[in-house]
Amino acid sequence: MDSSPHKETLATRLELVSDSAKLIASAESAAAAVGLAAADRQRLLDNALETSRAVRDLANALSEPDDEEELYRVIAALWLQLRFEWQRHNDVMNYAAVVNSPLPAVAAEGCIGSALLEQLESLLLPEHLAAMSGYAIDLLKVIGRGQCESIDTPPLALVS
Amino acid sequence: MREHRHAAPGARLMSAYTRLRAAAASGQLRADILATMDGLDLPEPVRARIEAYCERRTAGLMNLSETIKSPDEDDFYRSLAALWLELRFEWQRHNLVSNYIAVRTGGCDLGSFVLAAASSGVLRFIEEHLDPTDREIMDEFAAELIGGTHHTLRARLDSVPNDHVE
Repeated sequence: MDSSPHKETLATRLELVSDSAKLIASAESAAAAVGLAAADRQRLLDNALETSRAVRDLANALSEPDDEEELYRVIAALWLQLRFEWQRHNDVMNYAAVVNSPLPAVAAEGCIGSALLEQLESLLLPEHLAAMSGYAIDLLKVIGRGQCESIDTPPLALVS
Repeated sequence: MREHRHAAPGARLMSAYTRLRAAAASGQLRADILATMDGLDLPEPVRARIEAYCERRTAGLMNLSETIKSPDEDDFYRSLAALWLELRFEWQRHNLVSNYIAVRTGGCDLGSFVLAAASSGVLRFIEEHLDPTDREIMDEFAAELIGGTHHTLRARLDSVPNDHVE
């Protein structure tokens, strides 16, 4: 990773991602798009604020230059966590659609998740994103009662 | 291990499905999590964060268990496993933030500390419905991802006993 003193640190860039104004704007937009009731809208905004706070806490806790390698890995894990969450929302929405019982609050959560994932992806190398996605998918194939397929993925070196 | 997992898969999944639905509807998960914080003099803003967290996780479990109507299907078990991984990463992150702040400042970031405890509570609630070997594999994956141990997933899967893998 580039350690030029004039380049923004990873922690600084993560702090920008945690910008609550942007997340709140995403939440408001998502709430309006799916027509959330007032209580659900407020819950969505509160969740967005909490997420913003958690990301900011991470950036502040691992803000030293020596922390950057570990911070990168934790950001990778955060991305994977949010990716799983997004998939869960997607699965729930798909099932709800099949039984004609839509869940707009879940759809709105999915929109915010997508927005945050996109921002976190800007902090991670594309090959690492691809490797993590592949690992996670293959892991769940083994965990579930599906087939164990041949896996052909590169080593996961999170910091080059 | 395969024998253990498939001894009564339908009954186990039905048990998980039923219990999760009941817990989501009754508030049991919230009660379990708050019970772990008995004795902590939590400031109101921190308590509010935990209450919001409990509500969010309960709603998530309710949605999962109510929309997936067929608990015998593989999808439910995999969804549960994926949720466990999601929580594992969350717990690890809160724990790490809490530890870093403790080392840096000598103080305790109560928010991260209790959120780590809360996510741990949900993890415990779910993991009793997962095969122990599956949990071990997922636990290693999560720990190694953050711990930075370089490996290939193929190498780890190669080490899994053949009777575990279909």
